[in-house]
Amino acid sequence: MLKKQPDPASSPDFETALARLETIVAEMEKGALNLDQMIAHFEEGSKLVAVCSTKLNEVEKKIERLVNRDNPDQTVPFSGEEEATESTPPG
Amino acid sequence: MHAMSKTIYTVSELNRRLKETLEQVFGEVVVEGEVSNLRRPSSGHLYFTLKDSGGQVAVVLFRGNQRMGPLPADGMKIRVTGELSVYVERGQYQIVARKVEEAGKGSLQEAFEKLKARLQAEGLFDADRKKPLPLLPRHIGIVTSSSGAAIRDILNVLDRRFPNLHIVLAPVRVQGEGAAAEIAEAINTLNRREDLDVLIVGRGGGSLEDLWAFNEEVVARAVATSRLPVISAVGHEIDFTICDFVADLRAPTPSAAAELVVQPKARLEQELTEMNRRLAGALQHLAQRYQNRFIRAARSYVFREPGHLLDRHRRRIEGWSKDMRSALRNRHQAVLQQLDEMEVRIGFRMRDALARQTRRLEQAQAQLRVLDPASVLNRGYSITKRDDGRVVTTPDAVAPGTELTTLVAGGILQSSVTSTHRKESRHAQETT
Repeated sequence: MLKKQPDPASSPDFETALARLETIVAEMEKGALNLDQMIAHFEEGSKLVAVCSTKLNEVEKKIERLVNRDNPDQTVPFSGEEEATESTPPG
Repeated sequence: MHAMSKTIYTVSELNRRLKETLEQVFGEVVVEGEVSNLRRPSSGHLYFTLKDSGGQVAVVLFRGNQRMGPLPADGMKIRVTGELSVYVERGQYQIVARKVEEAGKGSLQEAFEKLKARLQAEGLFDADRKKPLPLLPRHIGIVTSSSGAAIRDILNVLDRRFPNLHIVLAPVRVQGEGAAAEIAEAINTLNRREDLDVLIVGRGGGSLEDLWAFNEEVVARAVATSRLPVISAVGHEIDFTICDFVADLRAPTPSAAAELVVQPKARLEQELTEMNRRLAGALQHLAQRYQNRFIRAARSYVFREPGHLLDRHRRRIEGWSKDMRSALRNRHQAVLQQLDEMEVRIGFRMRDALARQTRRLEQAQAQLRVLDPASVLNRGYSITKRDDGRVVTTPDAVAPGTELTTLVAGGILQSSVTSTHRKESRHAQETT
């Protein structure tokens, strides 16, 4: 089963959000904005901080292992301590 | 006997001459044959005979050269590359092997170079084909053996750097017959998942043969057509495979791949905290500037047009404050609190300034009232001038008969001096 959690179209990915955040902060620190612009920047920046922070934490730790070579979605939990089931020497 | 006409060698001289001649004439040779009589003394060097249906030759493979290919075994058909030489002490000639390959197959190195050249010509290694890695991959696919050091190392490093990752392992054989096909298939299969951000493909160190699956074209093609960015992590630092060249990023080891794929979560969190701090800081800085402007404005204008200007500034500041407040409501407690304090401070300063200026106004008005001649006259005083306009402040300024003009609150009196007296009288002159 797919674990896809599509981001809302309005929510940028982490990288885009962080880059925009950096731009916003830099513009605010230049000191050339009027109050309205500062408030708007601050609001947008605060939203982006929240977006990024959410993205850092929203995914839960999970390790799966494919069990069927042809089916990308058929998995079992993987402990990381699996015995060699094939004659493959440690790689 | 023709002893005198022949050169007489000692045995060792003969062997040395033979050695020199052989080495000069043949130098490096490549010989194919079947291994027999394999011996491995405690020195670790390998001694064996290479033979075919018509003859045999001694071969030595020193320990230091044994990593360069498969280890010979009795009955194995191999191709030996090495120097032809003579073992002087025994009078035996032998091949000092540098490299051993399986006979019949082309050399692995050759195959590697050929495939590399072909794929390079196709542009598969071009820098502009490389996909950028995501800054924050949260769903990571891994193609490697499910047992062994590589997967353990990768999982350990990933967990240490970013404790909440979603990982999907596609277990494959990483060496031997069919391994390459499995690796390629796993790459393709993981690409069909919609949730993954990036793939790590690799295995731990091993011999050239062990790593060979990652030099096969089927793997190279799978990596090249992968929709997801691929990090290749095969063997140790020194091992380069075709897979490394095609991949979007080459990691020297599996652990390094895990380090390259995701930044430490703590560092990203720190960066966000810092951004948040700078956001608030910039706004507070602006608020401070407005406050300073207000204070300057209050100082410089209020005395001239006190009520009007103060009101205007107060309205503006209240407006700013309200704007900020509504913009920040329930959003940023720290800044909001700062604003509260600022507003209180501004309020205090407003009241201070207002009170101060009002006091100054009142004092000024009081002074004016004291100084205004009209107000003096109102209280019953009068001002007396001579006809030349000079105000008379002493009896010496006049003499009996001098014409005087006296200002009182209600109007003007005309009179003339009849007599003058000094000192005792506060009003030295009398009027008639």
